[in-house]
Amino acid sequence: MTALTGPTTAGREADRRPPATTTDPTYATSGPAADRPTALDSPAPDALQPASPSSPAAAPADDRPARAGRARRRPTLVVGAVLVGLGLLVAVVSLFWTPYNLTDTAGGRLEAPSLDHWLGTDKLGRDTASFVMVGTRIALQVGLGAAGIAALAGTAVGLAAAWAKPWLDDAAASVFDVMLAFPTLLLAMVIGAAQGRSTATVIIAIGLAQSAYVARLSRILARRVRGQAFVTAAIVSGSSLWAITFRHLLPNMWTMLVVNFALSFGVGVLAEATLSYLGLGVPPPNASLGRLMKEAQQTVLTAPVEAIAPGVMVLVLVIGANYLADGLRELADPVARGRA
Amino acid sequence: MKPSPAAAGVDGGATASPINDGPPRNTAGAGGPGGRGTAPGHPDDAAGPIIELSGVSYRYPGQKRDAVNRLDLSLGAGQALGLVGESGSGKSTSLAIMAGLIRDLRNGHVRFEGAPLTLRSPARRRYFRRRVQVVFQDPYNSLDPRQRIGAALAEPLIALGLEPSREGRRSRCAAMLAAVGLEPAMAERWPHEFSGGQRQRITIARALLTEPRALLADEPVSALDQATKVELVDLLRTIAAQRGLALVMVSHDLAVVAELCSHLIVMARGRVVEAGATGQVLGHPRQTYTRDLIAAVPRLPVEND
Repeated sequence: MTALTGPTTAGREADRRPPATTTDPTYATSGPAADRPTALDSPAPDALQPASPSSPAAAPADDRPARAGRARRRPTLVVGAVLVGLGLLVAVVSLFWTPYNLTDTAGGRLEAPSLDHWLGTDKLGRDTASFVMVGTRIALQVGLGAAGIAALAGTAVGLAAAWAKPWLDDAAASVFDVMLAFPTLLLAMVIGAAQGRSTATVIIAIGLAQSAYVARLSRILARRVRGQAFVTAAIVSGSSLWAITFRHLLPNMWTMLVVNFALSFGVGVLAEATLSYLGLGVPPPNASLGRLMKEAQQTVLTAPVEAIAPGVMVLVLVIGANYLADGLRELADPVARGRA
Repeated sequence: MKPSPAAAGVDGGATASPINDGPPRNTAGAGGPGGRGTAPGHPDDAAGPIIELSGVSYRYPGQKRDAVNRLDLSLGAGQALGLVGESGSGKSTSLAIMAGLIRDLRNGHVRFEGAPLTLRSPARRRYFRRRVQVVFQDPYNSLDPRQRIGAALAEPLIALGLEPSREGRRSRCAAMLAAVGLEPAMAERWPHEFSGGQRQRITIARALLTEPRALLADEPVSALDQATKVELVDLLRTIAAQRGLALVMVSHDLAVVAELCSHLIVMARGRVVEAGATGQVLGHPRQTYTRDLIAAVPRLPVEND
């Protein structure tokens, strides 16, 4: 499952060259110094200049900059956006309208899908479609909330570590590694168990459990940017660490952080479903895709749709998030783009 | 190569004094005798060196050898001083120490305008940053790819509080771009649109915007092709002369250093092996190391003014 290994993948990507695109002029050659000609007799950089790093010589196809054409050649991004967009749409609609009230038990028990009940009913006669819609909203809330917390906390800690004295940085890196040794789920379960069950607890628990991934990634990214001469130049220019962080570090890191955000959103959705399945997730008055699957488990042979529908929704969100992340990375990474 | 006796004693490298008879801290160099960069009337040309290192040793964490070993050096106003040596000889480290970028010295002191260099007080730090600027080796690396040229140039003006108004910053940046031979309109463009030589002009412009007294250049032209190199060396010389800048030039390229610097310090394994006037050091090298270094130059390029 890519979702679980996602942040690791992102970390590996981070070791590649920084992203560059032809459409975004802000990217340019900022690779590690070692990649640059420094020897006296190196070829004239002026001669190299016209070939911008984002236009590989062997890709005349890239000279067709039509955006539509690009999107067609990047199906992962489109598929990912469509899947996540579908989830978002369902969630937003559920805010204003669901086919039935969640407490409405008027339907027959364990009905098969019909025009009245699109996805059938559960064993209490409640409408499964309505539950899946609300469950999708909760899943998105948890996924976005957890990814947001992870992004904020992780980036802050990672940046702080990157600026810290070497011993403190080493210590922080070790703490991240210890945290990473615990699976996200286990950590979220421990935090959730200690704090009692509520949607907020679940969001915070998953977010904190994931923040170590983001912290590790942003520490690596920040250190790499910090090593560039333009950061030293900023120090010489008298800029404070805050100014350098916001003007130089983050602008050169955010593409990778956005990709990672999409990945951790997927992990968050999956973690929430799993926690709910185990009975540790979002508590009952709220619908949860994981709990729907758990409750449908006993009657899966008589009413399979009731179990399949929330499962498909989880799949849509998680696969969508992963495709979206992959697509965004391809968009940002010329190496991956050349391959696509 | 055996370590030379001169290396142990070290000497006040930046001054014209012959190698072994200057006192460790030779402050007689105001204005730099015969320095090509000497220029009239910088208002701050008070007597005494701008930057002075005495007995400075520094070792990178985890290394067994000092990168810089008991270095004495003084940079007088308007002087042009070259630091040469092979890679790993400690010349770039010396420059970083002079620029206040390396602080945790094992030994020795750095003095700035006669007082110990301290960057703890913000006012003092800003003053130092204003007065001492650095140009880096790699033009592809020393401009943030996500900042327009104008923003990069304005950064020291903002950070050091030198120009509060946006309009003022814009006009100063435009004027400075013109001064280094670029179009003022280039401020709107991104670093990747420029060649290595142009980028290095931009970084020089950024350094000059604070109106420094000393410009420390770490191999500023070694990443450039020969023609661009000559142009930039000319630019640096002109600018240093016009503004009365003191120049420190770190290079492994003796031709460039010979062209720009009145005085040379030859370094090997963190120590000074030879120092003196450029002509003297290059014409009559005393140390085998220096001779080897000179012999290693393929051919001195013809530079035309």
